Amino acid sequence: MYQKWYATAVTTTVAHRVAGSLDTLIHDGLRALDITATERERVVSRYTQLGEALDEHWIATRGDNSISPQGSFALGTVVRNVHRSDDIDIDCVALKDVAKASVGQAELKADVGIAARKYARSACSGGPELSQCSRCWTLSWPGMHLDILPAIPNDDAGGSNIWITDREVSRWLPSNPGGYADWFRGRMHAQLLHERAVEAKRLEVEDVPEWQVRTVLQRVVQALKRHRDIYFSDRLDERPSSIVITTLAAHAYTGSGDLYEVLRNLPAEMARHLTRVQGRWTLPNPVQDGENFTDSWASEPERAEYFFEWVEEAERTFRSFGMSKGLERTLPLLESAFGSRFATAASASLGQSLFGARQRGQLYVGNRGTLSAATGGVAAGSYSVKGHRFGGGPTR
Amino acid sequence: MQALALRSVVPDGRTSLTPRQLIWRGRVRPLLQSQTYELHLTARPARPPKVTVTAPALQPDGAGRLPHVYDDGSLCVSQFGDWQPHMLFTATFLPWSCEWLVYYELWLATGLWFGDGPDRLDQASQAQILHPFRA
Repeated sequence: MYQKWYATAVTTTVAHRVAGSLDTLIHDGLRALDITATERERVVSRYTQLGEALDEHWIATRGDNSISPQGSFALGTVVRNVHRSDDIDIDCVALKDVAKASVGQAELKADVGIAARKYARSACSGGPELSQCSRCWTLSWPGMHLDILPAIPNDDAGGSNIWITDREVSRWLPSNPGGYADWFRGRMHAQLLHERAVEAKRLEVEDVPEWQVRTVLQRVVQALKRHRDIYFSDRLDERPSSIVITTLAAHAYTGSGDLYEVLRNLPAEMARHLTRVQGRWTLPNPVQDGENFTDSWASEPERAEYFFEWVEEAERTFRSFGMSKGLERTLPLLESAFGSRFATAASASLGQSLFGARQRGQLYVGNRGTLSAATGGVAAGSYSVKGHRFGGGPTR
Repeated sequence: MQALALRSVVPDGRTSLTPRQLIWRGRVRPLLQSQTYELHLTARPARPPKVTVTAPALQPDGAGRLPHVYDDGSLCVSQFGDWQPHMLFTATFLPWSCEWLVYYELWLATGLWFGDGPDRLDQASQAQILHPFRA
């Protein structure tokens, strides 16, 4: 089981990471909460098949129907849902290429439901269950849930702008998930290029696709969302939304620092990017004029209190990791913040990386007995550690 | 030779040397996130040394056992043939003991000893490495 997680998680660059540092422990824990390459392939294949079913169903439209992932899948910040047995939740937009005047909100939603049902019954779908919430449809497979949000193009605004239905399915709301994903990527553009180059070099290939790497910002957003989910375990409705957390983190991220440094410093910085305008908390959608992500905080002021309560706790918790000494103290802190799947993966990964380095003859010892699993050069004065086996019991 | 090498890795370690025995004490911190431990190493000519952890006190499980320790409480970090008299402690018993300490901290946190490899994580293998511990 430990090996499987290690082998199938989305690849990230590890050459520069120090074994047993907080940066590495958190990185390895988060990998176990990420979507795996196999799951990703399955998601793409499922929404592509669903897209074909929709296209067939909408054969009489203008012809540019599409289905595309949005939210965390598009941003590279998927984190397993701790409240659904660590399942993967994916959001996508089903865009019907028709004019706004030609279709009503309820009609569009029902229409998408017909195609989704047809797809769910098809032989290739794997027999997912279909359910609906206020404005979207959900296909559920064991371990995975795909939310489908019906939409039409926003011809007035153009580009990647779309209209989606509101929760009452009676009004059109402007949205632009594609534009938001571009904005988010822009906040870590240099880091994305760097991670891709490092990974390509490690794999000895010319290039690697963007989905195959994770930047520090993406990892930090995953960590923040996971901490939020666990912190609000017994009051899920009070959780600050992912879009608020993601936007604030992206604003606060300066582009430098290792994963733990950024995680430790970001919560305090995030809160500074919320402003009060005429007595209302404001966090503008960076790609959608007039949209305030914290709009609901005006009518439900307790939401602001929940956010600030959580962000303070996140800062306290993340700082406490750095003050503990001894893995037997640090790992339980990580488990309490991010859950057992995270802590188990972080422990197993450290154990395997040391064991693997010893087996490969790449384990070194330096000042004060500090061990390092080096693939490149090592510090002067370090000794290469000879191979050995622990005595007694079933050892090699 | 051994004493000089030990000093290069742990500059403030203390060595006492007689013709028949080398005793070394030093503080190590195997990983950034590890605790600092004081080790005590005793070596006689041409024989593998004994390494014990003198501080902080090791914490055995509820049944008073630790993984990979000898009856006298020293760490069992090698098997016959792993060490040869020409090998430096700084490339063998010192880092092997540091490895033991990392796996020990992981064992305290998870109940699993990762030091024998990923295919030795099953319950039966894990049970076999535990040994009564006397400080």
